[in-house]
Amino acid sequence: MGTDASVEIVDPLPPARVAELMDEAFALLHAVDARFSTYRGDSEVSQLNAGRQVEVSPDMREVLSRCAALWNRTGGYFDVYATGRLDPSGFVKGWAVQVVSDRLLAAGAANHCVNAGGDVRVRGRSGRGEPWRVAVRHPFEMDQVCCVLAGTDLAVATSGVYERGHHVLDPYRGGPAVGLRSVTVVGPDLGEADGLATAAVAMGRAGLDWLSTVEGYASAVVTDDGRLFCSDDLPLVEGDRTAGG
Amino acid sequence: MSPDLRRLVLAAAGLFAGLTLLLSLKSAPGAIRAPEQARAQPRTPTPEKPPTTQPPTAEPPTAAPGMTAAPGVTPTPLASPVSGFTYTGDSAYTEFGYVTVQITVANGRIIDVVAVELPGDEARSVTLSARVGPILRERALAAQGADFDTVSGATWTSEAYQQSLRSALAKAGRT
Repeated sequence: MGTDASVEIVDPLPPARVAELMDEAFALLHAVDARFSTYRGDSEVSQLNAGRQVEVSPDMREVLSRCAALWNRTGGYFDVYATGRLDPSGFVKGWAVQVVSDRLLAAGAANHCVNAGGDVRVRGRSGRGEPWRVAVRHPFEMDQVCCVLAGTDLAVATSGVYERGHHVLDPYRGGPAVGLRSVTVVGPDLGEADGLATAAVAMGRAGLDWLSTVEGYASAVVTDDGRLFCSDDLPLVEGDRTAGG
Repeated sequence: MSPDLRRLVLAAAGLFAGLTLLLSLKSAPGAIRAPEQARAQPRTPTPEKPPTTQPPTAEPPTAAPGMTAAPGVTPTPLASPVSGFTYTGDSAYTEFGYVTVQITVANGRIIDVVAVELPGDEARSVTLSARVGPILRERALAAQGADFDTVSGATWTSEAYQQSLRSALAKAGRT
């Protein structure tokens, strides 16, 4: 995946146990990278793309099944074959973080924050005893944030285009999507949020209307011309109060 | 149709046929689609998928306000309220967005050539189900000073870096 990851566990577990959980979390992220990275020639996804005989792993089946469902849900705008080769990275990063978070919860760490490459899953409360505060990177001012969300059970995924030469592909036009600079999707599942955000960027301006029809997920969108749009149920922090859900 | 008007239409079509070749701009290299068996799910209501080569769209003859004559072309007065036909070429991707070229033809002459930038939501349609969620409302986009625990953002430098690194490795013969 080539991304930075961080795991924060707040629960007052024995330090050895926390260290163990951290090791397991990073081991899982490394394993996902080894299997799904298109930058690695020896990954399972690269071998599939090269047409080499390979046993399809249960994780690969799970990911492809989820991606197929996303393809349906997004009218074909989430398309793992859009580049001509299988590339599920618009889903995998969020999915991996969701699995890490689910395992931490099952292991008794109910208060944690996991962030890999900007896909975030928080549960419970931060070290200050408050709902976790997840900021959204400002898509034009690189060292700033443009809004802050708060929650005790949130998945937050952001897809977008900040740099020249970096594109999200429009699978129908076969060229770069234009119109939306950044899409943040918030809801219960991070893999789903990741795919929905990626699809919305691929749709361009039409994605702004489409997002309002997506059930169960709230969103924040910044257009190429610098306008911010938020759904009413987005858990924004305004001043010192949390607005909405 | 009167004989004169029919000759006008034929002439415009003939003229345009040559211009289609001249003005057809290829869109960005299309994605090579994977074999269909790779798709397990049938498509549910799909968005309109535009053909990769768009046929010329001749709009019904209407007055086109603001139409200007190309340099050196004297617009001849028209016998009917028809002002001209507008034809739209393929979209091409530029650093400024998608651009298409429109020409207006009247009396067998091109009287206007315009490069237009299509807004993203006009080039294709996305099938929308009945709106069930809240509408996204506009807010001020501003840097926030609030404190926070973590940041969500699209990956940028890491992906560009990885691509650049990969190509450098490939050039060095170390894929």
